Amino acid sequence: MSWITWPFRFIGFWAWFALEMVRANVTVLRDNLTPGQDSTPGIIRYSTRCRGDAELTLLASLITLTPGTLTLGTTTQAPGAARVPGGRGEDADAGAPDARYLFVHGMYQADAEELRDLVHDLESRMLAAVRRQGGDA
Amino acid sequence: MMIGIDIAIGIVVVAWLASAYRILKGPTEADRAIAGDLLLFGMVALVALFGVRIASAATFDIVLVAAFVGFLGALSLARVLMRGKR
Amino acid sequence: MNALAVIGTVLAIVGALIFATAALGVVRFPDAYSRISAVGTAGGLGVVFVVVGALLTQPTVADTVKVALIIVLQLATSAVGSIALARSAYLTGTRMHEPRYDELDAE
Repeated sequence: MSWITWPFRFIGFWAWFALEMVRANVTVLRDNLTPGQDSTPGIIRYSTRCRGDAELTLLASLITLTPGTLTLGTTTQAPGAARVPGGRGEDADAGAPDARYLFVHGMYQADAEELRDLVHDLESRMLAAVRRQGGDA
Repeated sequence: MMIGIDIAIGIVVVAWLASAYRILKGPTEADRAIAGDLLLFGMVALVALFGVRIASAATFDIVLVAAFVGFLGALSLARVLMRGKR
Repeated sequence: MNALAVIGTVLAIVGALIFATAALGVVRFPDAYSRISAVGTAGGLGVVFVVVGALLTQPTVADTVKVALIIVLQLATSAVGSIALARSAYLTGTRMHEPRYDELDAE
């Protein structure tokens, strides 16, 4: 990964995102045009790997732009800090000291893990596309 | 060819009426606020489409200003929902 | 009638259809959060498609510059507006319709 491949990674990411938008739009439209509701809404706390406000803002905006998912907000507070005992999610995020969290609302994922996988996939592709030296650097 | 633009105008007007319905009906304040947001975006799209229809030179200036300040509407609605708290 | 105008008209209709999708969502979705999600898509992409379509029907250099600015501003600001609305909706206690999971609960 280097400067040379960066423009191709960048363009490739937007092509992938456009396809993903179409797919999500079809899901929303199918639910809306058929009688009844088959959405399974929920909110997850997602631990991001973004560095800096620019990457975090881009990820939050991309989540909001995708039909069916929505960013509700962000926090630096570790999970469990104000959590009632026995609540969900105490096992999921260990949480680095300076970790940032996004709250993501999803409509067509069966459970929290499926939505977490979706956001994780989007984040990995986005970081690989915007960072000059590649996503894992 | 303008018939295509006319079709687009018709579709956006229907979307506009739908969000007006949600403002009148909407059970919670958040529903009304988000319908108002869609109303603004529909207005911007209508300005762009009508500008093509009447071949006006000022079209994209108006849309540019709307894109600059449009998000302030959503932010103020969010503040109104919070009753001024943050 | 040239090819650019045809493409522009098609893009304008696609943008209008994105608006129709959002309006359908605003009318039919059961709670405020799913409606905000629908509008977040239309506000960004619908406006961009319609404006690019309008540009391609009568392209000039000055208008192209303005449209490039509009696209950047619109994509950046519409998502921020939707996120702010969703945040205040949650903080003022708007309920979800039959939630399956809620990790923001009790915080």
